Amino acid sequence: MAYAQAVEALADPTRRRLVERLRRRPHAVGELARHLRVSQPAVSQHLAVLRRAKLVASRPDAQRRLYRLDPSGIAALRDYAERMWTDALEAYARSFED
Amino acid sequence: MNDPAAAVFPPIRKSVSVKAPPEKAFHRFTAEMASWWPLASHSVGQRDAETVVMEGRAGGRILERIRGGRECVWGTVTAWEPPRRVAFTWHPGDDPARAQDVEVRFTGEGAGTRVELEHRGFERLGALAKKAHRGYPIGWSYVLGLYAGRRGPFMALVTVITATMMGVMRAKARLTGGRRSEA
Repeated sequence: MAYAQAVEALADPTRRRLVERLRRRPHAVGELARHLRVSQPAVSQHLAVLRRAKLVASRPDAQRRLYRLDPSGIAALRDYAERMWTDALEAYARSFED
Repeated sequence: MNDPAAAVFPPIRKSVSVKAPPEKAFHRFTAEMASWWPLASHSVGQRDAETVVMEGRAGGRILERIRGGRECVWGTVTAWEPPRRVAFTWHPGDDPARAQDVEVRFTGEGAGTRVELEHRGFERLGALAKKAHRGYPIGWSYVLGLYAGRRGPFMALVTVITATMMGVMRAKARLTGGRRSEA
């Protein structure tokens, strides 16, 4: 349920602020904590949720990790469409059974 | 397709065999869409969705009617070739600029019909995602509506894309600055 996860992830205002920040450029956790005035552990927790929802990705950069937006959030739409057509075509085929 | 991003979001292909000749299969898929489309789970209006109509001609719309007289365009017919092929754009609840393409082919198979569906164009969303573009306030009303619990998963997909593209706060500022006319 990738799309549901993404929706849930974005329901939180702090996570929405994180997404907005990351839209500009990749950030390290410390920077994000400073900008958003939230503790580092809290930011890490929020990032973990966003990462599970495939909205944020990270890579190591020297001693730290850099976080960026992950366009594979779009993959959630594709997943949803895939399920939708499965449901729809099953219903369509069923409509021919007497 | 020349867009290398297409490889990242390949088309969805589904097929199904039905116990009817192509003419009937085509008619059921298009003119009688309301008789089989799972409206309760796949619609913009969800519980308030009344029906879905496909206008049978090139340029015709696929239209969801919602209780209270509201209508929502899901897409536009781009190819109308009964009983072999129908194609349409697909953007339920979303801006037509982000439409994908759906093509359905009907092939006789013994006494029945093989129905093959392809849903492609997801890379278009990817290309849009790379731009910090303006002019799509529509997605955000859905986001906010969704959070308020008025929308189901059909709208959630809009949320995901738009959030990735625009960032929530910017749009929120826009919405609080003055609601625009929305679908």
